[in-house]
Amino acid sequence: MARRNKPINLPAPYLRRIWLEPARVTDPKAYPFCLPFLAKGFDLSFDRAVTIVVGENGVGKSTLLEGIAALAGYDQAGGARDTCRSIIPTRSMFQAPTFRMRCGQAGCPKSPRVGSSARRVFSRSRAISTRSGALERISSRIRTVKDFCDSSRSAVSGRASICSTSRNRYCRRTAAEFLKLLRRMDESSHCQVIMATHSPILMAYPGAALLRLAKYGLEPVTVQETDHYRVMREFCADPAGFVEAMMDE
Amino acid sequence: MARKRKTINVPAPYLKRIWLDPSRIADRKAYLFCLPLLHNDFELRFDRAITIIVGENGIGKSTLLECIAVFAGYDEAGGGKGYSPVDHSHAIEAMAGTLSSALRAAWLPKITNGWFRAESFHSVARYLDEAALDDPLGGPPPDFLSHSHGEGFLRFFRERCQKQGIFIFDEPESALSPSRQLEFLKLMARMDAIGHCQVIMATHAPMLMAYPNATLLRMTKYGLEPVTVKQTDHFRVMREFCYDPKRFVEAVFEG
Repeated sequence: MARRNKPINLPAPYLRRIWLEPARVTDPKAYPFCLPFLAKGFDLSFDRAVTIVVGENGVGKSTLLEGIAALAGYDQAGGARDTCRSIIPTRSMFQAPTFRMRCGQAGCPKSPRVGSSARRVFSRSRAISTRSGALERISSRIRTVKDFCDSSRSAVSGRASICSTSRNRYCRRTAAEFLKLLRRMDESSHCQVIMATHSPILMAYPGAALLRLAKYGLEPVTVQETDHYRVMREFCADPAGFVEAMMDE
Repeated sequence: MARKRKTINVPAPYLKRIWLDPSRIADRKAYLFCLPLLHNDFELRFDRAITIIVGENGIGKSTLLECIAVFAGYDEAGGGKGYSPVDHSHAIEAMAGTLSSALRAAWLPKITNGWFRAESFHSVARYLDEAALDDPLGGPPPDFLSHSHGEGFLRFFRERCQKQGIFIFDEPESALSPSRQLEFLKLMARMDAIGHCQVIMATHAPMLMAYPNATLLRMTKYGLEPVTVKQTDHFRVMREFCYDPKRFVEAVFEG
């Protein structure tokens, strides 16, 4: 085990590219292949250590992350489910078995070079989030996100690659803390982070590749171009008027 | 059962008041009683159908909501409330005996239908999906999880919010993009208009705090106080960010 955890002197990103292998799609009409963004093929290259995926609810962000998670951990001694569950601690803790199996199938976006290093990396983050999971069970009042931050902080010294559905469930101050954590992980250059979020503040992380997942696939965006930011800015300019106008619709 | 589910023609709020009865506190030093919300004079009145509580993480918002859930009877396993075998059972287990026994509640009338903890929606959805699978006579499973997190969440509450009840939401925004948060606002407006739904919600989302017809309360170390959206830290931070995202992030890193 000690050997397996030895760090490799290669900077992140470790996962370089994922794509959909049409030959492996069993049923294009079934979930997850029916998701619009997979309709015309799918190809995603990672050139930064931090990749942030944004998009409307239901477009397939989490499915994509789960696909990556399953892909990276699938060949771990039967650990695919667990891995998948723990890599995305805030969400997949609550996954249904059916969904997990499906997300196993989603392993079709195939990466050729998720080498042994990446696997180690994921197993590492599994341990981390299992720990935060345990913490959460002990006291639900300790926020998942905090556990996650703490654990990840300790992981920065080690080696971690984390797919996280981090959401704006935590207050803004925590969002700022999370930004700092992201930077620490980024600077350590041996962490790859792939994250889906609805929080405009997290989207603004300067070193990240910010991608919008829409019906027709992924496209690079800036924070200011996202709907999340636009809605928020409009809201902040006149909260009462904005909400009133929206509710009249 | 039919009788019990009959709608009672009294408008919300049903839970009128909760307060702390100091004489019932068994152990002052126990975790829960160290929380700032539990000063001797803790009291919370509900005068509107919708009450929104804001405050930093760890201040005790969720604890308060859990207590209210205990009062509403959501800790009972199985039965009409039915949705308890999910992870919040751990939370309630740990405190039901202590805190809720020291708190008192006034109802008019007592309503025990409704929903607790949107936060754990996913575990609940899984439970519902599984329960439907286990029932050989039941229809096809509702399959809430085939929807994305946010989609399933909205669908779920659209289906349920028409009934009379007390609904407790703990950070419902977690799964929702800003435009879906607006939909959630409309959902609340509908519950409000129906008049027999009481909503008690903790949130960090400025947009949800801005619901016009709600009592907005801030929970601090010193207790609960009424606030406006614009006074909350959440809103201020968000406004600052929206004004100049780049500067904001730089300031975070400098700080």
